Amino acid sequence: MTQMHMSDNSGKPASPAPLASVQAGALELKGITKVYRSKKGDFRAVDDTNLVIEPGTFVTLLGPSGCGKTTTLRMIAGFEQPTEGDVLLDGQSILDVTADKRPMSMVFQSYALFPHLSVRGNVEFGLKIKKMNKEERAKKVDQALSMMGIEQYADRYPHQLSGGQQQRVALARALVMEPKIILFDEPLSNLDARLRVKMRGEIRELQRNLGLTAIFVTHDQSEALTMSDVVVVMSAGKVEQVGSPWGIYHRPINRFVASFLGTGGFIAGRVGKVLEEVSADPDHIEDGLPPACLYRVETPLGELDVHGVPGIAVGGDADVVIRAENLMVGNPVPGHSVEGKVVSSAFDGEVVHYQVETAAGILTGSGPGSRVPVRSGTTVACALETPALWAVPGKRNGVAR
Amino acid sequence: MANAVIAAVAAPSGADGAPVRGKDPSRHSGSNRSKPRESASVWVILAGVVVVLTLVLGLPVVKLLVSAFSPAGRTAMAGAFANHAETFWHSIVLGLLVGLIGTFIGFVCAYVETFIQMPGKKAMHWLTLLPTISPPFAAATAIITLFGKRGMVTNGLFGLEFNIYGLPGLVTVLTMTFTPVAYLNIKGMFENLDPATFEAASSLGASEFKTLFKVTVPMVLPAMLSSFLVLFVEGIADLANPLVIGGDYRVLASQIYFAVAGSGDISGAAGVALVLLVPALTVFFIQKYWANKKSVVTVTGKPTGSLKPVTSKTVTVPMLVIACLWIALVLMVYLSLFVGGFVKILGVDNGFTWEHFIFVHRLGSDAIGTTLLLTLLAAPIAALLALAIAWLVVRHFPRFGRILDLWGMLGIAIPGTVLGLGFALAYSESTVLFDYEVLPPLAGGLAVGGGAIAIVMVFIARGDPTGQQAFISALQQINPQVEEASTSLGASPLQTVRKVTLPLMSSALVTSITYAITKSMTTITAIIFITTPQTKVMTSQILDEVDAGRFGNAFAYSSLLIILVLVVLGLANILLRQLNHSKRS
Repeated sequence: MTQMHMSDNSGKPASPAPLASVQAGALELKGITKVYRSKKGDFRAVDDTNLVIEPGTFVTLLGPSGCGKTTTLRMIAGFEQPTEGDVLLDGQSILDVTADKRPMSMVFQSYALFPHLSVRGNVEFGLKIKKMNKEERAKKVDQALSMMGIEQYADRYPHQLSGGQQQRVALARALVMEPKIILFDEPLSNLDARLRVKMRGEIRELQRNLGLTAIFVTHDQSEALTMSDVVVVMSAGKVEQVGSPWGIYHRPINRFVASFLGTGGFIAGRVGKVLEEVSADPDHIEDGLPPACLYRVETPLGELDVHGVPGIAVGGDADVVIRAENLMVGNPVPGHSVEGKVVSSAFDGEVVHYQVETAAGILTGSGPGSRVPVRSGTTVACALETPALWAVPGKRNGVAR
Repeated sequence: MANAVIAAVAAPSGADGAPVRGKDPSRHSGSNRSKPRESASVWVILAGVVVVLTLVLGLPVVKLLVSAFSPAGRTAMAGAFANHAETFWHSIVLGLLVGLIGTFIGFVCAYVETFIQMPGKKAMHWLTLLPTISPPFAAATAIITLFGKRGMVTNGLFGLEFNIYGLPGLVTVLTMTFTPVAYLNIKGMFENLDPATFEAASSLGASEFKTLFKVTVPMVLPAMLSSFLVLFVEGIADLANPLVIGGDYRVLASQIYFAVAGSGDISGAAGVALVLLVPALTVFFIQKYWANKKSVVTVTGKPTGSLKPVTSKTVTVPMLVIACLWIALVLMVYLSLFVGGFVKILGVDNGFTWEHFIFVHRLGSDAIGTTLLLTLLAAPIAALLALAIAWLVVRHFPRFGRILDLWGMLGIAIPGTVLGLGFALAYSESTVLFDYEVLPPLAGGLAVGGGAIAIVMVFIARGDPTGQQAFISALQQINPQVEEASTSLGASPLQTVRKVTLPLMSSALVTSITYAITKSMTTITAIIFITTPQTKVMTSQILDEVDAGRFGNAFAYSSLLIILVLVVLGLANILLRQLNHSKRS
C-alpha cells in the first residue's frame, strides 16, 4: 500500500496522479522536516513532507493535535526554519526570505489583533509598513472593512469587539495586504458552533472571489470537508493522504485516515477473492480519487463485496470501514442484513445514534430522527449499505500477505 | 473540479499512525522553539548589549575577583572569618532580621490594602512607598533624632536613655527602607489571586480567620519567600546606614569601607567584599530560580470577580493595628525629616529658620545639577538596556539568553559596596588590552569628565535589573502570535518592536524608567568609592553633612532630594504618557 501511495506522485504510467508539472505561482514543499531537539531526545514534528499547492486552491491540513500541521504552516509562513528540505514558491526557494518579506498573510488562532490599535489601525498596519500613501491606504482599508462588513466598528478597539467581529478584523487585516497566499491557523476554533459554520462559507467565498491560494490548518473534519479543494491528512509528522474531501472520506488509504474521518468503526476480515483489479476508471481519476479494487471479504457478518484499497492479496487481512450512516438500525432497507442488539441510543435531532452489538462486536449505527428511537436491549434488524463500505489493509498486518 | 489542483504527496506513511498525543511544540512560546535565522539587527543589538554589560558588570567584577584573590586579598578574606568572624555574623543576623520583619510588615500592609475596607487607603499606599524615594540614610538621621539618646520620643517623651545606635537602629531603618519591596511584591501577588478561591474557601466552611492561615498565606508564600530573600540581600549589602547609625555594630559592608577609607587597603577590601558577595549572590539566585518557580498563582489577566473585603474582627483588628503603627512610624520619621529642615535643631531649638536651605543652596547647587544630569543620562540608557536584554532573552535567544539575563541581574545581586569597589578597581586606571589603551581612566577626580562617566555606568548597572525583570515578564505575557502577525504583515523585527511590542509594554517602561531614576538619584552605597570633588552628587553631600553632625542641613537636603525625585518622576511619567498617546492617534 505504501508503495502504491508513493507511485501516486512518481508520474509513472500506472500512476493516476493528476499532475506532474508545477504551475506558475505554485507553492512546493520538498522533503521538509522539522526536528525539535531537547534533552529528552529529538522530536520530529514534521517528517520529510512533500506537497505541491497549486495557485487558487483551498488546501486544508487536517490532523489531530501534534501531527505537525501547524508546524508545516509556520514553515511556509517563515516563522520556523525547516531542519531539512526546501520551500519553493514559483520554483524559487524562499528559505532565505524572512517571514516579513514573504508574500503571504497569516490569520491566527488567537486572531492576534494589536490591542493598542483600533480596528482601522489594525487593518492599515501592514499598508503603513509598506509606506503606502494616505489616500490609497484609506481606500484600501475602507474596502477591506466593507468587504468584511465591519465598517461601523472602524474606531473601536479589539477588546470592545465580540469574537466573531475580531475574527473579521483579523481577516480584513490579512486580506488588505493582497497576499498571494493566505494562511489560516485554526482561525475558527474560538468561535461558537453557529458562527463557525457561517464563517466557513464566508471564508470560502472570499477565497474563490479573490482567487487566492489558501492554506488552512484545522483538526475539525467538517471544516476540512466543507471548505477545501484539497485535504491533506497528517499524522505524527507525516502526510497520510492527499485528496479531495469526497476522496479522503470515502476512499481512505489506511486505518488512520478512515478512523479520523467520520464516525464509525471497523470489522476485521480476510480477503476471500479479488473480484475486480485496480480500477482504471477515468472518471475516478478525474475526481482525483485513488484507485479501488473490488474484494469479497469474509467477515463475522458474512461475506461482503466491498471496494477497497488496492494491493490486499487473497488471504490478507482487511478491515472494513463501517460508518454510522452505513449501518441503518431498525429501519430495514435494502442491503446486507445484520442482526444486532441496541446497547444505547442518543437522539440528535435529525438522526439517532446507536451502539449496536453484532456478531462483529459493538458497532456504531444510525437511524432516522423522525422515528422514535429503538429502546436499548431490543434486538433489531439492521441494514449494511455495502456499496458505500470500504476496505483498508487490516490492523494485524498493515500490508497484504 | 478538484482534479488539477494537487500533485502531491507525501513521504511514505508508516502503518497506520497513531496520533501523537504530545503537545504541539510549535504552538507554544516555549524555549525550545527554534526561530528562523536571526536578522542582522538582532546581532547588532546583541553585540551592543554585550559591550555595555562588559563595561558595567564585566570588568569591575573581574577586577574585583582578581584583587580579592591576590595575596593581600586572601589574607583579608581569611581574616574576615578568623579575626572578624563576628563582623560576618553581624551581617547575617542583620540580614535575617531585616528579611523577617520587613516581609512580615510588608505582608500585613499588603493584606490591609487588598482585603480590608477603610478610608484613606490610597494615602496609606503612598506612605508605605515613601521610603523608596528617599536616600536610605535620611531615615536613619531622623530616627536618631527621634529615638536616640537625646531622642524626642525616647528621651523627650519617655525620659529614656535609649541607645539606638547599633543593631536596633539598623534593623529599624533598613526595615523601613526595604519593606516597600516586600509590600509591592506581596500586593502584586494578592492582586493576581483568583477571587473565586476565597469564595470557595468560604463556601467550604472556612472562617475568615482560618482562610487567612490556610489559604491566603500559603498562596502568597512564594512572594513572601522571595521578599525575604531580597530583603536579606539588601540588608547585608547596605553601607550608608551602618555608617550613620551602625555605631559599634560593624558589618561586612562597613568593614570594606573602613579598609578603603581608613587604611587604603584596596586588596584587603576586595577580599572582604568577596566574603559579602558569596552569600549575597547565593541568596539572590535561590530567590530568582527557586522561590519564583514555586508560584501557585496562575496569572490569567482576567480575574473572575472582585475580592470580597474581609470583615471578621479577629482578622482586621490585629492587621489594622500593626499596619497603622507602621504607617505612624513612617509618617513620624518623614515628618521630622521635613520639619527638621526648617528648624534650628530639631528637638532642641525648634525655632524656624531658612539657614539650612540657604546652606544647601550655597553648597548644593552644583550637586543638584550634576545629579540631575547624570540621572537623565543613565535612566534612559538603563531602560534601553533592560528592554534590549528582555527582548533578546524572551524572543530571540531563549537558551543563551539566560546568561544575559543573569548577567544583567548582577547589577542588583552584587551588593552596592562591592560593585562600587569593583568600579574603583577597574576604572581608576586606564583599561589596557594587549598593550593598547582601550579606555582612559573613567573613575576618580583625574579621570575624563571628573569621574562622572564611572558614576553614570554604576547608575546604569543598578538601574537595569528591575526594568529588565519588568520587561521580561511583560514580554512573556504578550502572545507571540501578536508579533508574528506584525511580521506577517511585513514589519521587520525592529518595526515590530517599535510599533507593537513596546506600546504593549508601556507599564513595564514606566516601571523601568521610574526605578532607574529613583535608584540613580538616591543611591550612595554603590558610588561611595567613586565620587570625586569634581563630580558632586547630592547623596554623598548629604552623607557628609550627617557625618559632620549637621543634621538640619541633612534634613533640608534630603527633603529637597525627595521633592526633586518626585518632580522628575512626575515629568517622566507625563512624558511617557504623552508618547503613548501620540502613538495611539
